[in-house]
Amino acid sequence: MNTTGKVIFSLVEHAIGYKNQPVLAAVNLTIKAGETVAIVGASGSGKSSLLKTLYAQQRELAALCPQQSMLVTSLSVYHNIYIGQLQRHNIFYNLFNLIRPFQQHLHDIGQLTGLLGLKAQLFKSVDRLSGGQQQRTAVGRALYQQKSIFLGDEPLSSIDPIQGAALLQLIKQRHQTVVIVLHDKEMALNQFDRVIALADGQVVIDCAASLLSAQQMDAIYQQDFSAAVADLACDNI
Amino acid sequence: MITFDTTGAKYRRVSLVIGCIAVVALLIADLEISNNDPASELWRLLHGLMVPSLELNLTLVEAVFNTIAFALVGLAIGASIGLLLAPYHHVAVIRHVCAFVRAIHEIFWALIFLQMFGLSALTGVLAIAVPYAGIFAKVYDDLLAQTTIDRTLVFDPNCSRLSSWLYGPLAQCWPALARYTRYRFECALRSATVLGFIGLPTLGYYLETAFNQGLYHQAGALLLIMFALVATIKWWLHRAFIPVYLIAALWYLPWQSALEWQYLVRFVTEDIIPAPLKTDNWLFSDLLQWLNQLWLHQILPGGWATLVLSVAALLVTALVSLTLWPFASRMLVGRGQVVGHGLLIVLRSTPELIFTFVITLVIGPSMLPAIIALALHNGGIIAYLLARSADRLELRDDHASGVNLWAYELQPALYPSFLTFLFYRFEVILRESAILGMLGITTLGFYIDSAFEALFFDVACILILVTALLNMLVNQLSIKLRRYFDLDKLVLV
Repeated sequence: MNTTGKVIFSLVEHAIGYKNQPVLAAVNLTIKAGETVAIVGASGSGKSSLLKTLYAQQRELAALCPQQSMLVTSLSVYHNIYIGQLQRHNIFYNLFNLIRPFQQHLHDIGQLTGLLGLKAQLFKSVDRLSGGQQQRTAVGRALYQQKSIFLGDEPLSSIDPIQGAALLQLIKQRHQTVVIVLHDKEMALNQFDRVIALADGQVVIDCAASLLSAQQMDAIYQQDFSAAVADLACDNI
Repeated sequence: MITFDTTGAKYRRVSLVIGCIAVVALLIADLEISNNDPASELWRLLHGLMVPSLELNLTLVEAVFNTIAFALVGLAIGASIGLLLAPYHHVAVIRHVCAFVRAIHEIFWALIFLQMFGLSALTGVLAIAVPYAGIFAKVYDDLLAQTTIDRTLVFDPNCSRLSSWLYGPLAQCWPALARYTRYRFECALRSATVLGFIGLPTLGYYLETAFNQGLYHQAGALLLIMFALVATIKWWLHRAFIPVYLIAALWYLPWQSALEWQYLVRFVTEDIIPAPLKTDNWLFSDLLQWLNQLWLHQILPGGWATLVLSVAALLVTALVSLTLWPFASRMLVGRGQVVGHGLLIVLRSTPELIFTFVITLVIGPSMLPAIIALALHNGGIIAYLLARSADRLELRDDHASGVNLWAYELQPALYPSFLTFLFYRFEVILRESAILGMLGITTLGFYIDSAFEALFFDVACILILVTALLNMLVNQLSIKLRRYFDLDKLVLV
């Protein structure tokens, strides 16, 4: 199935609020299948809200990796990752698996935890893992959903840079479209096709990563948009 | 063979161990159904409850007012003493005294005060105020300990301890204290009702009479009044009116039966002195023999029955709460939660004593009615707390639904809270198991009640003391278990 280029997310003059407080004002945005998009911006700029809005548009096709890992802490890594596929199986199958894991899932999830560097923790409960291991479990749960779109809210923030880069490759390999909120400027510039920067509920930059420089990225975080958009070849909003 | 090294597996193991012990208790317990036609009795009872009818008369209105007044005044005194003691609760003596007074059930306190003050308002008020003071001192202290204000950093070193306490922890925790006190008022209403069973003029008095005479329509109406009273607290007890209500209650309560000092003095100086000590030239061996008889014929069988009943009831409570909570959770049953919540409200607002009394009418006297009653009441409370926690859990945007959500996310996430509530409730179940002896089950309460009836106050006091010690012992065990399993700090409700 090659659907590259098809519009999968589209926001037109879209305003997003949270508890009656406007978070994002009049956003215009389209994301096509096949793109890898980094969403950047200072805290409180509306990144997570934007990601949730995108998720609401493609619940069937998208796997979501939320900011708080939201794992079931008393269950093992195996079961937490299996949660990604709950909806594919009937209830009795799921209940049985809770008591006695199925060989096939043991195999698949075992392989996945190998790639995530969690092989030794497969049968440990999540509350016994480090912060980084927990986050990798959450990424594993999203990967195990086996969807075509990956939406991640800082999914790599507590993972060291080398492991993080490898994990991002894995995410990109297994998804046609990737939209990730992140703080790592270098990663945003080097690993993604496109960068969207938010500030105070506005999209201030939306252009190809190749057109941005490290200095401009710094300016985004320092909220100095005149410097960020100066000499920018792409359209800024 | 896969071995899971999970916290979930640890919870499963502890549940299994407790479950096995409880199954043994259930096997030992006397579960006889002695009524040969329970179905028709149940039908008569249900019919009565479904078609309540009652002639409104003055005594009934008075009973309602009395119930409220006893609860309000008892609670006010208990809460005030509790608040005064809370800052000193860390002092060992005060902590132990508080643990001791709350280890004795309101009804036992009432039986003691009855001998001292007769059927006067003072008996009812103190029976609630004394154990509640012990409860409030501890809970207020726990709540105040959750303050985030470090007084050494915020206040000037010259600021008095009291002012810094008032402006710091107390001010910050006030909403939590108020919430807890409000919840306790609900309990106080139930306590006041139950005090009617030993003769005080509250709703329980009329309930017992109606049930005993087989006037089920009337009993049904009285139960409905009790439910309505508890369910509508928030409408009739507004914060601003509490002082007015309190003054009205103080004025209304039947204090008139004047305090007869000679009874009081005789009770504490004569009645409660162990019998062998009352003779001149008593021998220590006489006392030992007396105690030995008490130990063999009352304490041992009564204590054993109390433990068996509580442990058996604990298992059924656990099963009831695990089965019922999903039906009251919005996450799992949506709007259907209204039905589940309705059921849980009925379960938790019916005092165990009344529950047991009613079920005994249907199936005859044995431990079975007590187990069912304890499980329904306490299971109802735990189920309510679990459903509420479930609906407050923060879930992922892509969380599962239905049975999947229950099995993979909610039940595993709630299991530690469930265990915490269960361990905490065990103390309550034990306290109640002792009391249920008053209905004929041979727990400690049975021997205490018999001793009071036979005017052996010395025996009664020693048995109450033993009951309190057993309770404190179990409480220590429950704390140890909670610590061992690293359960989150007791969630207070």
